[in-house]
Amino acid sequence: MLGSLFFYSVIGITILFILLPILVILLYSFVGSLSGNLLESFTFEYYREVFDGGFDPLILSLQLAIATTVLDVVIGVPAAYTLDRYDIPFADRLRDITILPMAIPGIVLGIAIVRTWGVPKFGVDLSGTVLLLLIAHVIFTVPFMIQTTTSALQSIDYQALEETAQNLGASWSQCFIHVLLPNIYNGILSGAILTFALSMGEFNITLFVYNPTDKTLPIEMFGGFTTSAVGQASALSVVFVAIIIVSLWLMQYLGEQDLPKVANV
Amino acid sequence: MSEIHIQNLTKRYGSTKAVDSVSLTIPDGTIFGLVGPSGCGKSTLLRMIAGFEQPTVGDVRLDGASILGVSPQERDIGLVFQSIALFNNMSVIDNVSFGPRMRGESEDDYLDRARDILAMLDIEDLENRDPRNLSGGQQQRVALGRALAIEPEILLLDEPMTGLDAKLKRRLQKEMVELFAELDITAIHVTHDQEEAMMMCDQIAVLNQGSIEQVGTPTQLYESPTNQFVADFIGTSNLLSATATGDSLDFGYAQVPHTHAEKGDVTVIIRPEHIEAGDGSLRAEITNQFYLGEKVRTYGQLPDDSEIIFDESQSSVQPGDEVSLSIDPELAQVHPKR
Repeated sequence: MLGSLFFYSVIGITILFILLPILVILLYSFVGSLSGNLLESFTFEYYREVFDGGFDPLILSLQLAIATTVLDVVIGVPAAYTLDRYDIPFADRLRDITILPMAIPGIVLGIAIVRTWGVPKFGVDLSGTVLLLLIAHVIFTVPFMIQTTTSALQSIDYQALEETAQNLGASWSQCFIHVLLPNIYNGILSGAILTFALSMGEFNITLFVYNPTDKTLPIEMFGGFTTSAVGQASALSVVFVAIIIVSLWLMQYLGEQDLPKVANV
Repeated sequence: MSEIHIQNLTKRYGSTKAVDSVSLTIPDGTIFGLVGPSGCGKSTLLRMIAGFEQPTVGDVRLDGASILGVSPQERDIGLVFQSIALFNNMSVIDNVSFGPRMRGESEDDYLDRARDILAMLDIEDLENRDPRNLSGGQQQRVALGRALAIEPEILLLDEPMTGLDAKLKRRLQKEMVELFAELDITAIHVTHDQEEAMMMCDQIAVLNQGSIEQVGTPTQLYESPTNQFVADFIGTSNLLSATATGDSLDFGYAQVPHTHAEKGDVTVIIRPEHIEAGDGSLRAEITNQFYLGEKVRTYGQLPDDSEIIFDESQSSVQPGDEVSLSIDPELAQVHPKR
């Protein structure tokens, strides 16, 4: 009894800690400032401003997050598989490298990416392009994709599954599509949800890489909060959080729909 | 015809020889057992036959033609893994029809075939079930059915009954023997369970440290083991040290008349059921006794502190007793000590 009370308190406090700042932002989005009578300053004006201001940053962020997630799946799943399946020399060190972007501060990665891909002297100049944003987001998020896929692989005896499929006459691609992918599908799905959310919210690296005409949503919000348009920026944040939640639910829903149907009697 | 010839097969990993110059002939239609302790190389041998490992030296021939250059997909060798490895993303019937489906057979054909196999294995009512929700025995049947669906020339079984309870194991073993006879299939059955091998197999190869110790029928292995390892591994044996003089065996504490060719230090191998309590020259103190239903197994200590095991249909002694034991010299085997 006392034990369950403790655990309920812990989860309650944790949820509150996560929700509290979001609730504060929600409040700001309706009142703009905490000075004066809150009831009197209550307004939908900030939301109107957000909708009047257009959805370019939101659309760019969504496009970027979708492209990032697709690329992460295309790169991350084979990478995780290769590192786990084959006897590659220094496979462990290589795996360490794939998680480096999680550990390097965003500010360092941001500057490094700009320096790497913006050297006109050598004919490489992606500075300010959306492509550079995409590269940055993939570098930052692909480690999470590799991690979740690797855990999914390691949780099943996929080598026995693969060999069984081959033994039954399946080609390598048949085996990959009909046996391997469906069995690690949940890992890939959670990796995709994670990378989508990370890309949507990415700020640190993006700050160094973006072009003022192509602002992502977090950059746009940062502008709002630093230029005293707090109410409007708060309203934008609330819209952002709502979109993230809806997107995650949608991805989870679509993912479950795709699961092969097996009757459970 | 599906006869397998394994010729001088060797598999080296670095400096370790997992399989060392193994040569075997597995005749058409037999159930052939590969037994031995863990790490004896039996699974590696099986993986080379299935095509998942390439031998360092040697050849695997199916009906006279080498299959080393043939990919696992093309070998027509069915395989059931120890881990069963059912495809959990598919229903039972999709598992069983997987092989024919991947080989491009028409839906009518592969579904008919899969249903026939499910009926043969007595699991037709599981057709649409999720393999994860099946019992161990049912999963075992599905895995077997999936391997049989490609109508393989040879069926390889890699300890597929590990983890099943003893009673279910015995039932499945009997069913599989009957099924394989009916299908007239050649099977290679890898197991560390010698009882399972004796029950299921027409012929058995005993492996130890990558090499074959003996090949023979269960009767040959049990009644005439050619060395101590086989005597010890197949069934229960007493291995007693003695000095052979030509007309007797001198155990130090006792002498037993025995005519044989060996002289010098020997190991006398005698099965527990070939020792009788009562009138004999081996004195032993009874240390322990186990009632096993059809027999009573008794452990005793000989004067040189070595252990002796004997079986009786009804117990005539009790722990703590001093008894004299007689061995039937005709049934004792004498091997030079190694």
